[in-house]
Amino acid sequence: MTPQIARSLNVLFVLAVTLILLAAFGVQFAKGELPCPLCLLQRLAMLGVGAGALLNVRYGVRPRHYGLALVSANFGGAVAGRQVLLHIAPGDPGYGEPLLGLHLYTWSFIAFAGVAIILSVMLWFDRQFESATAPTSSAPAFPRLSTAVLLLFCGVAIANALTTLLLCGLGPCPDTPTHYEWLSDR
Amino acid sequence: MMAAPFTTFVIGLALALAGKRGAAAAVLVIALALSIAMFLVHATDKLPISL
Repeated sequence: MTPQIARSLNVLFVLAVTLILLAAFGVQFAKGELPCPLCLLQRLAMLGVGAGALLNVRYGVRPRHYGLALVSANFGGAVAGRQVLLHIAPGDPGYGEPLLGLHLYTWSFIAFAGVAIILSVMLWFDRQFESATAPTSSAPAFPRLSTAVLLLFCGVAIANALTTLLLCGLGPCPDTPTHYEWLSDR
Repeated sequence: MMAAPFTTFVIGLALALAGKRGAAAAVLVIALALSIAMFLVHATDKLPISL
């Protein structure tokens, strides 16, 4: 795998993470399901995965960037796994509405497991790291599209920070949030 | 509290886009560490013990 292909794949990775985070926003605003603390932690882990890929796109592909994304994926998998186990008892309705038969945290666990596998496979290819000596020769195939994807990802990260502030304020988030802390009259 | 790691991530991403590679990596690692700390606080809070 050439450095250019690796960087282009990382652009796709950032785009996929951005779409997942936008889908979470869709559930939050279209269905009115407010995210629980574990849901927010899974979003943070997804941001970490995207941040690792973003560093690969911006500065060239490096094992340490993959490392950041891989640690984030494992962290997200742990959080999602914990949430699955919290609701695993028979008769427990789970948190939120299921999507295609599975709750969002179950989909999240599958996504993080998939991300961890993909990142591990990406690390098999040594040639992508040759760009360390000549970073300019390994620019992504579509530089404008890459910039747009990175900016969109950063915009989604900012939106997540703002909505979390509105939801929880500066204190701890409630386990089952019912309203936005900073938008309520109380 | 949960807003802190989100804000730290945003600062890290801004530094990354601004070309401050080392600072961005450091801040992103701090954001991830904060997230893991939040998870540990949440997880231990549910156990029948106190740390």
